[in-house]
Amino acid sequence: MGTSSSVWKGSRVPEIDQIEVEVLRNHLVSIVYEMGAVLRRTAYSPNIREREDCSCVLADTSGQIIAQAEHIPGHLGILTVGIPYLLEHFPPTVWEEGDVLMFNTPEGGSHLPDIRIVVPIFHRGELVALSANLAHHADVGGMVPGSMPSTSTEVWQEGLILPPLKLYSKGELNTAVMDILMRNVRTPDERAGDLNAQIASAQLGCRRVLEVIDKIGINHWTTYKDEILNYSERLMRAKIEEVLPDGEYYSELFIDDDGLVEGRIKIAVTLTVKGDSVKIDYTGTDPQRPSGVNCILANCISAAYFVIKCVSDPTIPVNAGCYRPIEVFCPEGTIISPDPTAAIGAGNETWQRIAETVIAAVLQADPSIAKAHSHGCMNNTVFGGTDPRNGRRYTYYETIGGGDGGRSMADGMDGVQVLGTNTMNTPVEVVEMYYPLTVEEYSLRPDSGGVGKYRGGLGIKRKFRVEDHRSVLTANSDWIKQKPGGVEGGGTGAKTRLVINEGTDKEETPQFCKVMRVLDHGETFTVYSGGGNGYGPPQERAREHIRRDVLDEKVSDHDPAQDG
Amino acid sequence: MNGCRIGFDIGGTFTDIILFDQNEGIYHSTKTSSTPRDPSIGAVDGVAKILQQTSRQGLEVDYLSHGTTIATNAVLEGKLANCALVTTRGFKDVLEIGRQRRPQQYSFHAVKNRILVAREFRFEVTERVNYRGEVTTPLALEELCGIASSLKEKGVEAVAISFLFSFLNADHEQAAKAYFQANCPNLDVYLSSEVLPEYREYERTSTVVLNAAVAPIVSRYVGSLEAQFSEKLDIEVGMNLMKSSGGVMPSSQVQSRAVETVLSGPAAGAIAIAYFGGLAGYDKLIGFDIGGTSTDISVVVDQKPRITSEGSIGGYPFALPIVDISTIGAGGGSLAYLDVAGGLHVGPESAGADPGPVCYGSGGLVPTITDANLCLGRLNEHFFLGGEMPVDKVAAEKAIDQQIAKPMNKSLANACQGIFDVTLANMVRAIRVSSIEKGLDPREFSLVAFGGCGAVFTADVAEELGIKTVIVPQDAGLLSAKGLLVTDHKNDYSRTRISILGGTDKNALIGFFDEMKAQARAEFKKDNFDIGDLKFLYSLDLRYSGQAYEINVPIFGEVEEITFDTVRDRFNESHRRLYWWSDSKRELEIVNLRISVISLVPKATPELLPLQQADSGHAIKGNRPVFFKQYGEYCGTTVYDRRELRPGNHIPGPAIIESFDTTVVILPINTAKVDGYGNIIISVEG
Repeated sequence: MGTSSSVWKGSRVPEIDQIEVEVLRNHLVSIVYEMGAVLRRTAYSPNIREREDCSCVLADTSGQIIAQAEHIPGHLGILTVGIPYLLEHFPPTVWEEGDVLMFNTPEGGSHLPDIRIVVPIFHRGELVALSANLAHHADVGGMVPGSMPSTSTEVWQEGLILPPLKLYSKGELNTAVMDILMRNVRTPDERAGDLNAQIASAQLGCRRVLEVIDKIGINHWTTYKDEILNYSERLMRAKIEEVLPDGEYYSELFIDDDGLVEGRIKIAVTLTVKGDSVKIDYTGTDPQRPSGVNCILANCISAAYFVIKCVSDPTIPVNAGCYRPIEVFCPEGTIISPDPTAAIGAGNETWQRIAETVIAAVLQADPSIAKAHSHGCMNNTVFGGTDPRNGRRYTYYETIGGGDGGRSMADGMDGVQVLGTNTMNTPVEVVEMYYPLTVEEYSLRPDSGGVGKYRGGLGIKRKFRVEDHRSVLTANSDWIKQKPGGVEGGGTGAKTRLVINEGTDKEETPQFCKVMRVLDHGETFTVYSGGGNGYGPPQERAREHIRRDVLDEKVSDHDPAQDG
Repeated sequence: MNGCRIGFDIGGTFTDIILFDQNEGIYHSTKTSSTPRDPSIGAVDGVAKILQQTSRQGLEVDYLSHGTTIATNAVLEGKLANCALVTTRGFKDVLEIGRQRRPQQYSFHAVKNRILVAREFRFEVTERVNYRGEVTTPLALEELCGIASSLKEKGVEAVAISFLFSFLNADHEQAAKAYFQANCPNLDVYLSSEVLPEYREYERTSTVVLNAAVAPIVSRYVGSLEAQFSEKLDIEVGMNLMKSSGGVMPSSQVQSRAVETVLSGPAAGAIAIAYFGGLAGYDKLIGFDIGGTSTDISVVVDQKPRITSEGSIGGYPFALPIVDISTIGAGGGSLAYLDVAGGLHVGPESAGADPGPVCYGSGGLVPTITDANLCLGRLNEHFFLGGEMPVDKVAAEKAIDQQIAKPMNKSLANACQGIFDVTLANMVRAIRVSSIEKGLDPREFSLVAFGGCGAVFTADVAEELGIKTVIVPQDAGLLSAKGLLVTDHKNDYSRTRISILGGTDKNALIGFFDEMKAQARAEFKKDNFDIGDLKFLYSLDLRYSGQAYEINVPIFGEVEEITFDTVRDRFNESHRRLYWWSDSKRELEIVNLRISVISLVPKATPELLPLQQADSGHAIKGNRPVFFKQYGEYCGTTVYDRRELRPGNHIPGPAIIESFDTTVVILPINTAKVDGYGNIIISVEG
């Protein structure tokens, strides 16, 4: 599949009042952010409320995103794919005013926990736009708490699948749907609260858009929203032309294993830059696996968009226009475009790998516009069970940041979320108050950054202990066995390290980068996230930076390249 | 008592000084140039100047109130005290990791904020308290010895201590403090359980660290200023300092509460509009303060500025109550430019004071908002700073014509109006965020313009938002300094005590509040306040059990009279107003208990003058062409001299009212009148 390129070329500004377009764009952005605030501040899942794992958009009736408040980049492509999917499989001919549409199908853009809610916007009886959001629910049923198994072999093991349907029909709740949903998830009360928040957010977007249309008139709405997209497209094309040198660049990176059997998995990218457009072709990527390591096509689209946006211009307003100059091709049946029955539970780690592979291609084009590879993971960590303190079921989900890659002008950042995710951590005091777990340590990991003129960022150590119950642990990570090297002579950062019962006689290191197991009272799980890679030869590192790192004990006196 | 009260507010360019005589009911004001290297010089000069102008002695001054940016600048410029942090073992990097987010989502080249305390200065000690407040690992006091010698060796002057769950059990923090006080006599020690006894370790740690980082600087500054006032001007009364929360504190408290001054400047402005707006009969206000590089927006409901506890400065969070002010990067000096795709942008980059707008002729080449306003006729080329500053209108026109009008294929006037409209859109968006997104309907509010450029925009902003009334207060350019003389003493106390509302023991809750009250009384008593006069305002932060964000619900009256049903109803109502849904069947959870303790300060209340005739012809100083979007062309517009306007005068739009500190634009179909306090009240017709 590919996104089509628009025909607009040249530098002349079209005959539309750019000032009024800018005024409308400002207004729409404020609407999606207001939608985001309502969703985040009233949601129940820690994923949404503390970690902002949610996105809100306004789209036109052809499914193009006009404005988006994305809290994490991994969501860039989800509704870009999801809304056209909805239009095709559950067409507007059956929509009515007051409907609230819902789905979570993988073909609709994401893994099952990302429930998508859409409210059609009718102006004087005519469909004019869509207000939509998605939020990562803490659990949607399936074989493990948190619904992100790595050892699943088919998507049906991962939770309840909701095809596009009406949760509300003409303002009336479809109680049968709600009952089915509530009976199939582990924490139904939380699900109901999250859905309330999502619906309130989408309905708010609907009201606000109608206020805008009442003010500017439906004709201006149509021409201006088109121009908003064209404007982003023009900016994107200008920046691609300016920043990316023409040429064809090939790269390949690997995932350690699929969580069930040994054998690394290849992601391949051919990046072709021609003038003001780019093509990203994933031909050469390995076939799909019978485990949750697969990810869906929407992910390889959003990972591509993300990297190209970062290297061209981070400030371009996000909408469908941005993506027109980017063509994505991915052969079917690969681990990043599997058939619809495939398991995808651990697929968001694969998103990170795709993004790093696209970055690897950009590094060949011009290393100074990109950065050295980061720790490259999300370190999805989920604990689930029954809280012995109150008898309630719980699901605790966390992603753990690490070292970012060194850049042409600066060190990689220490201990941050990278690439597709930028969610917040859950405070230690919140973890311990609300879940039967203790966090024994949360710290930076000295000597984990790859050496270089600009060193890689440090990884993080986070150690959990299970208290007074049995907990089911899911941990999806990568790069515990191998990882690519630094840039322009920079070194490789430390690999990810996962340890169970560290420092005891029951200590063990998992065989695979995806872990599922039961932990008993007192057992511990420690994540050492990886360090970022270095940029440039370490001999050129400024003395002042070396001194600072040693004083801060971020780097010890011995040669840090020996670590990891 | 002599009734002589002085407030002074130090800004980037000018120091504003106000003297109010309680017996006359009159404000006297003056300005001096600020002296950024040592702000106390400008302050002492300014206070001396006003005493001289009003022929008074320093001994006659019996109230002194100060709005300072000393802490603000220390944080923003990174010139902080040499401080250290001591944490629970395993958690010294919490301050550096923060919430784990990278600063910019889509940039590969972003860098993190400088960490307030470098890793070298962060120490860990073995101890642990659990989520119930029970000690699970006793404090290893013996480890403090080594830390103490490191602190001495490194020349640390202040240390912050932040242990996990210290908001539930502060024994370990207190024991560590006692140890350092006994063994490091020159070290200032700050505890997270004293500065902010609330949950979330990163925000609490950041807050106490900020306090440690600015306290020595603010203390030294205040000490030096008081000494100079005493030695040079015979002012013997202690100083009061404006806080970010919209209260003042005596200088004796500044050391333990230094962090509370970091956003005090805009807070004084919000207090001023709340008070003077209230006097004029308006109690729902949106404050709109446009300066050279930014615009501050505040919201007043029932004569009180809205408060938030989600504050941050320069990216560093501090979770203390502050006046809720949103700032956007649009001010007079904001630059206007076209991007490669033909989009017109204004700001956030600013020409600042140097080189400044093109029309200043000091080397600025890129047109600014001020240049556009000059070309539109909204500003008077002969009356910058009351005529003291010559400007080059032709240069401004040329820059806009070449850089904006020609490439956009627009007339010069339309290009200028375009710059104005894009700026307006940014401002309107910011006000929407401050009001609509917080459950408030701006149409029920009046808009108050202050600061140098506020009144040039306000009528247009009001029209865009459906606001009916615009107020341009008397002394709009000095309003923050006036606010210093109408601010009460206020301290805030809080603690986290999480419990399900339905299962909460009411007596235990009252007991917690009583403890906080006792703490407040002790602190006020130490500073010789009459504790019998203290007013206590109680509130609870609540949420539906399972949510992460709280809503503050006031408890009216005495805390003993609290009924949980009323609290529940009030919460549900707020939740619905803010977020468009509520569910009365869901369990509520108490998160934080709060008390605001207020000791009233006599207000500097101006005299209400009788209204005179409606005719304002005597105040007309001229006529000039001004471009109005409503007409699509320049039209002859009457210009009034604000000094000549009298209470009761009516001014029909379109009109311009000029004074030394601000220019007021009245749109074609609007009318304005002057009220008995000298405020200009504009009626906006949508």
